[in-house]
Parts: sequence; C-alpha cells; structure tokens
Amino acid sequence: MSQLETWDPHPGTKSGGDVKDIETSTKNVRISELLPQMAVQLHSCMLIRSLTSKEGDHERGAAFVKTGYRPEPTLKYPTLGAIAAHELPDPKIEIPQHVALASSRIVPEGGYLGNQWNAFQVFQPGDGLSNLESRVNLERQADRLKGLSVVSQQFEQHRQFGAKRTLHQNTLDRALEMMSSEQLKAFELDTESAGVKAAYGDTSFGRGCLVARRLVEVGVRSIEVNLSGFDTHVSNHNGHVTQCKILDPAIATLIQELRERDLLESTVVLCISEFGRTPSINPAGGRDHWPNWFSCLIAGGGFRESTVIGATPDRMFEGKVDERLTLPAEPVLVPELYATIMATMGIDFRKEILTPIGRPIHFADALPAAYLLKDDVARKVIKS
Amino acid sequence: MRQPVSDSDESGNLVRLRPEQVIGSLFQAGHIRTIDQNSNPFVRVTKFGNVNDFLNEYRHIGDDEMLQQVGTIPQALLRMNGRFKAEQSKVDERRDESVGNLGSSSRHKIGR
Repeated sequence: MSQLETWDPHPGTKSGGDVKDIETSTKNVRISELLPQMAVQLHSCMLIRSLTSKEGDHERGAAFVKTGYRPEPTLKYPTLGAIAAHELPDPKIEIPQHVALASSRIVPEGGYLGNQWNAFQVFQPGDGLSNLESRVNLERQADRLKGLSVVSQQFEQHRQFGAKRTLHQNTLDRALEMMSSEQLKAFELDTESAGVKAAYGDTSFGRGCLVARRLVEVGVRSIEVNLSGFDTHVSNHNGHVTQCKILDPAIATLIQELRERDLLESTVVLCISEFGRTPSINPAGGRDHWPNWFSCLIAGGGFRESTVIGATPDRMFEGKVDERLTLPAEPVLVPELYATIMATMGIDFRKEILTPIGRPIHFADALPAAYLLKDDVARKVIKS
Repeated sequence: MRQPVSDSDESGNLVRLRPEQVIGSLFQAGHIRTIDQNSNPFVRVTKFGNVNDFLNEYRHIGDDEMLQQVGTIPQALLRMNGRFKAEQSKVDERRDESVGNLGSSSRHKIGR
C-alpha cells in the first residue's frame, strides 16, 4: 500500500503525485481524499507514519510484518495472530481462535509453535465454510467414528508417546466440536441487514471485515482480513483509487461498529501492509517497493487516539542515495509495535520458547513502546 | 520378523503420511479390488483427477508436509466431509468395485 495515497499524503510536492488531502476528525491531521470515511473515524485511531523495515520483497516483507522477525531459512516464526491464539486460549470458543478471511495464499502460520496454530482460512467470507457439514446422518457418522476409534486405539497401543505427539485425536475432536458449534454462525452473514452489508461494501474484503466483527463478538482471538491489489508498479494513482474504494468503507465501518458495541477498547485493529511505495513515481506512473518508511493505522486496544506518530519530509527521495537512507522522524520498528500490542493484550512478550531445533526465542524481538499507549494503559504495561 | 515397536524404542518418531499417501489410502479404501496399473483405465483416470483435486486442497490447508508437524483442522474436515470421501463411499451401481455397493447390500441383509 502506498503511504502517499493513503495515510501520509504530500500533495503539491514532487513526490506527492495526483492525490489531494482532506481534513479529518482529528485536528490538524489530514489524510488522502481517497479515504473519506476513515477521515470521519480518525479520532478513534492512531496513525504511525514512520514504520521502518529492511524487507522490500513481497514474501519477506509479509513475513516480517506478520511475525515481527525478519525471515530466515532455519526457523519459521509464528505470526502475531498465532501467538495471541496460543497464549490467550479461551475454553468457551469452539471454533478456531486464529482466522484468516479473504485469505491470500500466504497462510498466517504457527511457525515454531506448530501448524495447529495456523490460521483457519476462509477464502470467500460470508459464503459458508467448506467441509463442515457431515454428508451422512448422525447414526452413520457415529458408526464411522466408532470404527475410527477402534483403528486408532490399535495404532496407539504400542506407540502411545508418538501417537500423542501427532495430536491426531485432538485435531479430530476440535474438528467435530467445530462441526456442531453454534458459534459457526459468526461466519454467516444471513442475519445482517442489507444496510450493514452495504456499509462494509459488497466486496470480499468488506464481507471479511463484517465477518471479523462477528468473530470478535464471539471472542475469537485473532482475525486477519486480506486485501491484495496494492502492488501498483504501473498507474499507482488509479490503482489506489480502486483499492481505497474497497478499503475505506470496510475498515471505517468496522471501527465504528466495534466502538458502538463497546468492543473497540478490548480489540486492536491494525491496518498494515508489507512495505510502502517509493516517493518517486516511475515512468509507468507507478510506485515501486519502499520499506524505508511506511504507514499503518491502529485503533482500540489501549492505543492512543487522535494521534500521529512520526513524520516524513515534504522533500523526499529524488534519486539521491543519501536521501534513500534517511529515516523518518520518530521511527517505529515493527517488532517494537508488536511487543506493544502483545503487552496491551496481556501477552508476556518476553516469554522465551524453546523451538523444535532447540533455539530459545522471545515472542517479541523488541521492548514495547509505551508512548504509543494511553497513559493509564502505558502505566499498567510498565508496571508489569 | 520385526517385533512390534515399543514406546521406548520408537521414541515418538512417527512419520506423517504424505498427502499422496492419504489420498491413495482413501481411494483404495473405497474399492474392493487393488487399484494399480492393471486396473480398468476408467478407474485409473478417475483416480488421477480425484487425486489432483484432493492434493491441491489438502496441501494448501496443511502447509509443508516435510516439516513433520501435526495435521490441521481443515485437513481433518476435508478427510471426514470432503466431496471425494462422499463419492468413494456412496452406492454406485455402475461401479461394481465400489465399497459403497458392498455396504449397501450388507445393510440390506441385516435389515438396516
């Protein structure tokens, strides 16, 4: 996503492109005209305009912003969502606690925690779930499970330790529990009014955000809604006009509805991309990958509201190497942001996990940035 | 002759089935006769199509089988309720090799 066409516009400058800025509900903060509904909701949000990364490749950048660790070949790190599901289990939840909606082909993974913490992927949110209904009647299903139990017990007879490690029975039990759970209705949109659906937008991303709100109401720990199409190497401005029409109503309505339901303070809404786009515009009218500085939006969860962190200069990269290396004001590191999110969610970010290859790894690769949090929340985080 | 493995000597090192082995087992379990290179060409073509569809879905929801991690809930749901499983176990008069036909006649015989 281009920071310059969304959260950090610089109209009238050489880098600014064709986008204009508009006033928001936060005093003296202006965002792109392509996000008019978010401009209304901005008083509930914090903008970080100074995220920095060193990963300018799609796959590596995505891995970095999902895990807070730069990817490496010897170890797969868990995503923030997987850590939240792992560390904050809720026995009342019968459906997966880590869900990816409108999912891309890159699965939010459990990494070294195990792939039982991978996100449950839903490719078409609101269109029902695959393979959740038994194709036989209850009696025959029970017969089948009895038969499976006989085979499983026989298999485990001489392999008790190994069989337990496969978590086969556990996975099967969770699948069966999910099949009969009333909470599955959270994935359905039949009971939502046409007005609400229209407010989120008749798009896969819009439906994903609406399902996300329903999953939050049930108590699911982490939900990722994916929106692809921001890789605007060509016609960047037009590409963002199209994408923002999808993004703006969905995320603005999500924040508004969570606030109306008193769920925003107990939920962290994070809108982030794997990197930003270059300040310079290429000959095809596009912007290329730019991890040096980019923006994200955070709402709820004890983060400051009506606040902007960091700033990028009006006169940005114009082809000189030294400007390419310049950091924005008040740079925020992705691991720092994730440590802060973990701290505010009550996750021990310093917890050390011994990975399957014997390496001790902390959940977060940095300390929390308390200044991102409201004063009372920051005090609690610092005390703990 | 190999003795049954004990807990102490197998040390929990079970090897997870590859997706090809899972679908191969499911397909064979749905047939009375062994499915191999001598099987009816129609059966082999059916197997080829089904295997590819299943593998695409099973691999995608279960990550890399070479990592020897545990299976996922979507994989368990696919094994239990997937289209392939239903087709393999249903009564099909056109396929005299189908296990579904055997089940149907057994149920008929015992009056269920």
